[in-house]
Amino acid sequence: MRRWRSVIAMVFAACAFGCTGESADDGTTVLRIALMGPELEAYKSWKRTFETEHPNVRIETQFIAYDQGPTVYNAMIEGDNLPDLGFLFMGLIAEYAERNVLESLDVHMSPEERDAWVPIALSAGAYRGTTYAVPIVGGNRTLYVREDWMKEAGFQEPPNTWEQVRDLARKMNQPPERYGMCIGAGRQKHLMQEQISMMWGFGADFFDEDGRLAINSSEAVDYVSFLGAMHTVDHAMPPGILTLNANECYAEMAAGKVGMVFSSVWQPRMCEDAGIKDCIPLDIPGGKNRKMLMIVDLLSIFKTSKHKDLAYDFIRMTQRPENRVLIDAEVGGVPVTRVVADHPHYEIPSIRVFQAHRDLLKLTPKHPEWTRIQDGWGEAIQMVLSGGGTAREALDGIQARLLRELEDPSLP
Amino acid sequence: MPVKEDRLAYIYLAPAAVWLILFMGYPILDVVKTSLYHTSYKGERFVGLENFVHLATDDLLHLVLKNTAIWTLCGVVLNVGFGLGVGLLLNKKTRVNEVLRTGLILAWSTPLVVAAITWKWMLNGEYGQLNSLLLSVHLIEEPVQWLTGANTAFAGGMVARLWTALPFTTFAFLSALQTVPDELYEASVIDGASNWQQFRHVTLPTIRPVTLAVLLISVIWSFNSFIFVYVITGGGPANQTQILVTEIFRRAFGYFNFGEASALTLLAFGVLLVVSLLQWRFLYRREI
Repeated sequence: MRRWRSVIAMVFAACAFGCTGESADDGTTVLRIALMGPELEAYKSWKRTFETEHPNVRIETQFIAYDQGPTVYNAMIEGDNLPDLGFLFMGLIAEYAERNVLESLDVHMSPEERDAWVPIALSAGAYRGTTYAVPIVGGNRTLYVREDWMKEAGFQEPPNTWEQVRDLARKMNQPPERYGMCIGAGRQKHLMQEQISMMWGFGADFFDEDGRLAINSSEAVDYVSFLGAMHTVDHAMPPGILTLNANECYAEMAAGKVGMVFSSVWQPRMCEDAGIKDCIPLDIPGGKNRKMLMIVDLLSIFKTSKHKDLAYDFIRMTQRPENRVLIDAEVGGVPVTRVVADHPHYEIPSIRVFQAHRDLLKLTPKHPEWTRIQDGWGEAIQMVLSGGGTAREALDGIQARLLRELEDPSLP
Repeated sequence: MPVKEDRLAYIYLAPAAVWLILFMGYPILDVVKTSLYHTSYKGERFVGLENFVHLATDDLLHLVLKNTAIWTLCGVVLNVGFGLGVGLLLNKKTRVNEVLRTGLILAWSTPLVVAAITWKWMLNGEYGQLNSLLLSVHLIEEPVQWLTGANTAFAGGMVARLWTALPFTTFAFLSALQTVPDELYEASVIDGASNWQQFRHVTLPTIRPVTLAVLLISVIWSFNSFIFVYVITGGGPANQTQILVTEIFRRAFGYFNFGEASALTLLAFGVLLVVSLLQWRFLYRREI
């Protein structure tokens, strides 16, 4: 009997170590990192660098598809199986901070390290005064247009207002060969990201000045009507818009089928790779609230990690300019640290436009149920684009549902 | 049964019983418990039947239930109807039928996710093969955006599901059809029965047990066919194709609302239980 007990105990012990990645058989410490998106060369390089600098540490990476991120993390939280570090969307920080699964990085971060980040990029990882995450890669969303088509449409100067943007989309529109504009309406998260600058331009926002949910403000109704009309009246967007995600819109532009998209610094290179040299960034047009969305993907340490100092060492390593440039150049990221490496990537026109408009940058609101708010907003727009209701009906319906369902329909 | 044999039977049943209690009984009890709690980022608190009350007044859930009913009903009718039809066509022993049967097995052996993704591509409004085919034979004049409208998206998903479900249904009917004694058909011919009368009064009564079993399985599979809606339409546009199982997933793992998701799971369980009991009751009564 005793022999059986020891066998069972050994099996459990082996499983426990093996499953949690605490420590490998050879005595090395295993640092588990969950990353979203594709397996980038930058990640491989970071892993090599870190393991070289820490000979007794082995990094185990797990890749999660972007659209599965929240689902997988929720399952990990429920299963008490979180890794040491995780790649998080900025919209998840408030929720996970409230759920007490994120480690505060304030105790790890020196004042010099804090100052090295671009403030708005670092603030994407902060919630209620505590820093829970640091940038892993940043991007912005502005309009990219086919310059040759724009001139052909009679626009010698880029559009300055959103009405002019609509006019340009109409004039570049030659269906079914090409369409004036594309937004990733098939995925609610992308819908929110792709057109939020235009929404701000109309003076609409998710919350009013007092921090109360304002999905159905009159400005929002005006804006959604305007956006809906671009599709249902002007027919200036591809007919299959409700099945396209943002990446497919970027690809449509590179394929010469779309004249204008909301995109980021990778767009010109994507077009050039497809043989099109005329995809240029535009300044954000003026409006009631002229703002440009900044999107920051973040790296957090989970509270359950048993190697928090080591995990922060990994963050420290990714902050160094020679490591930052690896990911920025590979995916087309904007600078998120004040000092960047001497690299041609940081000299491209898109980055220059980004740098020139830093004062316009704005993040999405920090609310613990942001995913639900974002999905609701996307659902309202989908409803209008599919002809399932007017902007007023769609937005009133979503506002009422969110007021009923949200724990707290105000900003914290 | 002697006491010794009785004990032996319990011993043989014990592993299966332990397995069922651990991996089915416990999760079901946990779902019942969770359905009585409100879960959110703030934690969980006991709310009794509040989740059920909330669901009863939830407009979105009404849409989801309507979608689920349409999806299930159409799925079952198409699956059973086509399955029986194809089964009848393949019932004759010919070389062509042997090849067709092999083809059905190929469709059956395709993993569901692969089939769903393939169908999603085929239904793509711009690049999809379905539009290319229909355009080439002049059945349509311009590409149809199958997945952007609620009705066409639903129809597309149903066709995809039918494609994967049909082989099982067909083979079930085929095996039942092959058990119908030839003497019955011969006797009915002597009595002057037409083809339809043979089908109505000989074939259908003989294969009734299999028909009811297929019906039951079709209801459960159609009701629970998560993959096709999740992959092909994602519940969109604007929740117009959301069904109960995808809504449960969305609330649980998208919004971390395990309380409502558990309440919905019990609702789904209840619906399936009632449908199953009704069908079995019907089968049992008719068999007597």
